[in-house]
Amino acid sequence: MENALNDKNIISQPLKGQMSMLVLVLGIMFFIMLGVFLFTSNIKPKNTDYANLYVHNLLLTSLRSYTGYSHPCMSVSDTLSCAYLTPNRFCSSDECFQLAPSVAEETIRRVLKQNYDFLLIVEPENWDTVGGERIVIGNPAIENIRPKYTANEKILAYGSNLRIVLMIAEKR
Amino acid sequence: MRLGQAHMMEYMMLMVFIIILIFAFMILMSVFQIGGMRTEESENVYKQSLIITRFMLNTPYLNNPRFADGSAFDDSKLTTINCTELKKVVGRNWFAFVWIPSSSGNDVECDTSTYPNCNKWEICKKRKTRTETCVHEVPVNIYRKMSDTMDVGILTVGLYGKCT
Repeated sequence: MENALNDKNIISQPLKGQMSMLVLVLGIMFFIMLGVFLFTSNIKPKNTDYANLYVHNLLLTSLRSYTGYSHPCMSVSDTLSCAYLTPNRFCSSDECFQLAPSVAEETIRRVLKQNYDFLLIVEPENWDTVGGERIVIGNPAIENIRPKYTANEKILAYGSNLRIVLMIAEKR
Repeated sequence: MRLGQAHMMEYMMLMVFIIILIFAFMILMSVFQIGGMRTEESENVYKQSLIITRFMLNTPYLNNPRFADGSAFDDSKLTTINCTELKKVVGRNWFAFVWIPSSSGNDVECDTSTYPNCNKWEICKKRKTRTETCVHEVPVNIYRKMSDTMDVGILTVGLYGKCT
C-alpha cells in the first residue's frame, strides 16, 4: 500500500513541474500578445489633409496666376487652354503650344516645395473614353510613385472643357 | 519535508516571476499611455494649425471678393490687416506671413511706406522666445491692386507647439 502511494507521488512530480511551466509559458505569451496588440493599435495612418490642401491650392493658384503676356495668354489657365484648343495661335512672339509648358512649369516651381516634384496633365474632359491629345508637363514618372497627391480642376472652354490634373510626390 | 520545501520554492519562484511580469506590463502600459497622450496633443496642434490655415485662405479680412474659391489675397488688405482683430476670431499662439518669391532673393516687407513695391506681409509676427512651432505652407494668389495682376505667393501659418 505504502509502495503504491510512493509510486503515485513519483509519477505526479514531473506532471506538476510541467503544469507550472505551462502556466508560465501561457502567461508570458499572454503578455507578449497584449503588448503587440497595444503597439499595433497605437499605429495610425499618415494624415493627408495638409498634402491634399497643398496640392489643391497649388493647382488653383498656379492656374489663376498672370503670365505677363497679353490675350490669349494672360493667365496660366488661358495659356493652357490656348495651347490645347488653338496651339498655333501667337502670344507675343511664341506659339501657345510652345509657351504653355514653360509658363506652367515656371509658375509651379516658384511656389513648389523643393523636396517635391510635379506632373501636370491637360486633357479633354472625357479623355478616358474618347481619347485624344494630352499635354504632359513635368516629371512623367510621378504617375507611378506612391504616395502621390492629386488635384483636379476644370477649364471651361468653348468647344471642349479641359481637365487639368496636378500630381505631386516627394523627390526620390 | 525537503519535497515540500522544493514545492514551496517552486511556487514562490513562479509567483515572483508573474509579479515581475505584471509590473513590466504596467510600466509598458504607462509608457504607451504617455506616448498616446503626447501623440494626441501634437495631433491637436496639427489640426488647429490647419484650421487657422483654412480660415486664412477663406477669410474676407484678406480675400478679394471677386474670387469665390478663396486663396486670393488682396495686397491692400494684407498691408493694412490688424493682427489683434484676427486673434479675436481664431485665438492666440499663432503667427502668419505671406511672401511672393522673388528672383533676386531680396524680400521687402510691406507697410504703408513701401507699398506696392514689396513682397512680404507679416500678418501676425512670430514671437522670438518660443522655438517649437507647427508650420504649414500653402500657395496663395496675391492680387496686386495697382497693376491689376494676379501673382502667386506662399502663405505660412505657424502654431506654437509640437505637431506630428
